[in-house]
Amino acid sequence: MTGMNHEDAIREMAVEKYLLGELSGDSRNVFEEHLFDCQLCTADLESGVTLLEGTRRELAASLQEGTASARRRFFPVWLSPAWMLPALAACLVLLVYQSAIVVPGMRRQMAEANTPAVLNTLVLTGGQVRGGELLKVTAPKAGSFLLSVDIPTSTGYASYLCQLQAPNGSIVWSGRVTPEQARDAVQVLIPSAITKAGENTLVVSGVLGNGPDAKMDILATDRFTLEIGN
Amino acid sequence: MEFQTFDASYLNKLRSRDEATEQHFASYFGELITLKLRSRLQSPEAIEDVKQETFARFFTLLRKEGGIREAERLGALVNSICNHVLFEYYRAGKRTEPLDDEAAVNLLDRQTSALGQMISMETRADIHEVLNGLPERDRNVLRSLFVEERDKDTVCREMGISRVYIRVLVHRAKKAFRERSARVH
Repeated sequence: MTGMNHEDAIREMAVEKYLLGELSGDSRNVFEEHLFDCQLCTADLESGVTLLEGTRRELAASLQEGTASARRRFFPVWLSPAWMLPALAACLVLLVYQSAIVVPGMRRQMAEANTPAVLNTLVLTGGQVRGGELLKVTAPKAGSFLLSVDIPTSTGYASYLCQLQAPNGSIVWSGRVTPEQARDAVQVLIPSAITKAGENTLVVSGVLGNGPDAKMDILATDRFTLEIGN
Repeated sequence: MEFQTFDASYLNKLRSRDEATEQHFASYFGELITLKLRSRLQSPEAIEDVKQETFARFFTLLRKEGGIREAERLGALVNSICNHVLFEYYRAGKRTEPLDDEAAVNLLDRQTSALGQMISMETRADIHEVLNGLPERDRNVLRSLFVEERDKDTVCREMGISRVYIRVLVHRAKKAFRERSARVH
């Protein structure tokens, strides 16, 4: 094989081929023979080696950074340990509270609601208080009492409204009664928990018409004393 | 790079053990021999052995009367001596002859020495700028070849490029790197 001069090396991209390992056998030997005698090709080759070694390190580092970043992006900020640990602790506390307190209480109430029981009953006769004394009813703390209400019916009312006021005047319950239901005494089950012990008031109103703006006439106001036992 | 004229004066300085000339000789041809041997020998120890034997035989020839006649062909002589040492090394059964068209990283130093670290830090900014100036596709080509060390034909097929494209890419990147280095440093 004939020798190589500098122009041959440039034209054939011999330095690039050498860097890429694409020269072999005689072609490699010929180039190396030229290389050892050509300081220009030597300088070019050394620049290429420096560049490619630096490129390998630079691109390897960016690849690692990219991998690490993607890993970080996979877990958004709000999933980082700094947030996660306190959040998990709070969830655990809530879970324990619900399991130990709330759910058993709900189950107890459901069980009581589904169990037949004798209730203390207070008969309200439309604002007429016998003997001037307030009627009294006693109910257990976690139980209920029964109000039996005689509604003074009259034609012209589309329905009747019953409202229970606690001792502080706040309305703790209200319920609609149809004219058909009002023909007989209306039985209302009141859980002790919705009101307070003391003087409670049941207000009965006649509702003229339908709709939210229908006018009402107060027909009866029954005050009674609630005693809440243990 | 400082170009040195290899002439009779240079040889005389070597014969008289001029320290600066000896250092230049060892540095210049030591680098060339290392690059040559990286594509032929796997272990750094083997590369160093062959290099040192090459130097030893050169200096023996240098100090021999009429041993070196053409100073201008100094480089070719060193290459020839290296080839002989390498051939003897192969014959001794210790060779690892690479296959033709090996991976492109053959010439690159797989072990980063302290000197290599210092040099790369000095030129890292230039290389960074050169790479930033390349299209993403070209960076991917270089990454595939020199980081992931993938087969060149596979890379060409996957990226729809040719071997010539890769050579031109290396050529342009090398040119940009040399121009930047000459401008900045």
